[in-house]
Amino acid sequence: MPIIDLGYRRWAGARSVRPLRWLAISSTSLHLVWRAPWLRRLLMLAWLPSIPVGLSFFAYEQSLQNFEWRQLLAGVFTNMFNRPDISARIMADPLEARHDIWAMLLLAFFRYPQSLNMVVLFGMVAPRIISYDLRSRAYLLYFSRPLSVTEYMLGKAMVLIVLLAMTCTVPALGVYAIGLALSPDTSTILQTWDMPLRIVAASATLAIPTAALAILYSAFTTESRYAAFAWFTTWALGWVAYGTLTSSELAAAGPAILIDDRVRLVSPYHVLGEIQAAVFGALPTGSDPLSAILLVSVVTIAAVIVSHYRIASQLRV
Amino acid sequence: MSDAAVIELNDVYKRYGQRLALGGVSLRIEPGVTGLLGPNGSGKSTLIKSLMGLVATESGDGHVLGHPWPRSARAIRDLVGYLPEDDCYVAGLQGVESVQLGGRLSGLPRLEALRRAHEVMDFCDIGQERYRQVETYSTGMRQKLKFAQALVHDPPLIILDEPTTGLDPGQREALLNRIGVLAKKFGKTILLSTHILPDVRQVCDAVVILVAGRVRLSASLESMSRPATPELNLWVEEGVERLEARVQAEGIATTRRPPYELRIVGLEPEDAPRVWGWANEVGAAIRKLEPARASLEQTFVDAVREAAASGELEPRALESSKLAAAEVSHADH
Repeated sequence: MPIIDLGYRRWAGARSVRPLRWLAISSTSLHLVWRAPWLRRLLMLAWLPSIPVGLSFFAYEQSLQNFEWRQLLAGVFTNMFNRPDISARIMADPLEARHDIWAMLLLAFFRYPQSLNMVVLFGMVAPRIISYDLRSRAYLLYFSRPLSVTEYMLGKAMVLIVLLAMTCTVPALGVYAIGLALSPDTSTILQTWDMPLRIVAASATLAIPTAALAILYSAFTTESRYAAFAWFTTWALGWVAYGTLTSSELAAAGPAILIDDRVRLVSPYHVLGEIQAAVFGALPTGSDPLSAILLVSVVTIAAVIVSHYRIASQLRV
Repeated sequence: MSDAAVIELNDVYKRYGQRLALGGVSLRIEPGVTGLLGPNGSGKSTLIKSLMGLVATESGDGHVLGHPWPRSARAIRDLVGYLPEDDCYVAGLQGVESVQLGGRLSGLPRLEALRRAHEVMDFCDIGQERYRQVETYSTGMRQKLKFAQALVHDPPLIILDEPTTGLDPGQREALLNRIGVLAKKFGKTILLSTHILPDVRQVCDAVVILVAGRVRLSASLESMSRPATPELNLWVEEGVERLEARVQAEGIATTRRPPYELRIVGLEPEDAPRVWGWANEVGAAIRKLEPARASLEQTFVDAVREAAASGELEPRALESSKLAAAEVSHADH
């Protein structure tokens, strides 16, 4: 109980501008999810893959002066990334190949550990982000204030985007900065000045569609476990379908479509990977990411529209 | 916009599919506390949500706090404190964080919203419980929390939907007192939607009765409590028969409730000296004399009955309204 109770008092301070008030939703939701110890541990784990990527940058810079390092790096590009063309350029003139090597390393960072991190992280956080509000009718608290459904969705999506930025964008930019620090001269900056922009674009490519899909699942139910199930099932089914369709035996026996690039479209992971490869300029020659971009755009727009409708329908009682 | 009207709506229509929720609602709410009464399904919540711009109406216009309605719904929401009937909270937040969030969504800076949250929670008598998660709150505590959320940005218009639900008698009395303080001392306009008629009698200056999506009555409580035909109620301890005969000799109708009560029909309070004179003539001892007042319960039931007679309301709704009014009246007495 208060030591002194002055009763009701008026308030007449300056208010923030209305279009930015949805940021309060983001910061409060982030504050809430940050309380979970598992999330903090997961984020720390998500930073670990930046160490091998940083070491790869170190290996590349060493390869400029050391032939053995050059051979090692060429082997990595041939065996791990299936890019013998880049390996050949490394062996011929590693300085000339710097941009593509950096792009490939950063793409690998996004593509393998961080995409998987994103699936796990969003699977733990996103299902409850709207469904809890539907269950506890918190939308009445939000929409009795000067907020629109779009702003509410933006506020919630920003939570996921910030988490993704913390696991992908920030460590990738950190790795890039380390790469610059390790490089022997300032020409590196001129060669790789576009990398930060590509990192941000690749993060957006990953964040926007996945956040839209995660919010859609969460907006469909008051039981977050169902949303989590739908989220993980989407990725798992995609992987299984892609793996099945591209297995060599099946591809050899099946129709032509099975060995076509379009097979990637069955798997969200591979579709996003193709677009990210395009963002980093690391698509193999002859690949066309247009169908992947189109599919991701359609799914994102549809997810936003349906989520908007679902949330707005709560008020039509 | 008319002078002094905080809310003025004209001809508002809203349908849910085939069902008419609001059928040409026109009303005018002036500063003070206005009770919004109506049986279940009468359109109260739809009217409130329409006012807030949360549901789209088919037609109708008006003004709320000087802003054109429904065009400026967001600007209006900035000036309104809303206590919803439904339980609503952000899971995982402490009480004080929940109120702070309400403040921030209304534009208060983060620290100022926290300071203000403590201030209104003190006013709402929420003690150390403010540091507990909202999920652990009792129904009464949640009502107080919602009230604090409605006040955190110091709005000039406060809309309360069933605010006393779940409160024990002491808390209910305290909440009604707070409503009175906010209206009288701080000039807030308060729209109180409730089923509890004694609450309306205790704090409201005016009443709007909404039945089957139409406004059946909108008047000040003072004018509403005046019966259609003026009457004087007397408590006569001695000579009540003689006084009744004397009054009837003047051609004035009376009714009696033995042994002491006498009701004189058609006389205004200004006619009291005539009554004193007749009592003096016949030697009757009057202990109490007061103008008769129409009961709010009866007015409410009459409004519902009128709607039922016109076929706009199911008979079942009429019965439940009568029952509710009777129960409330009994409890009140």
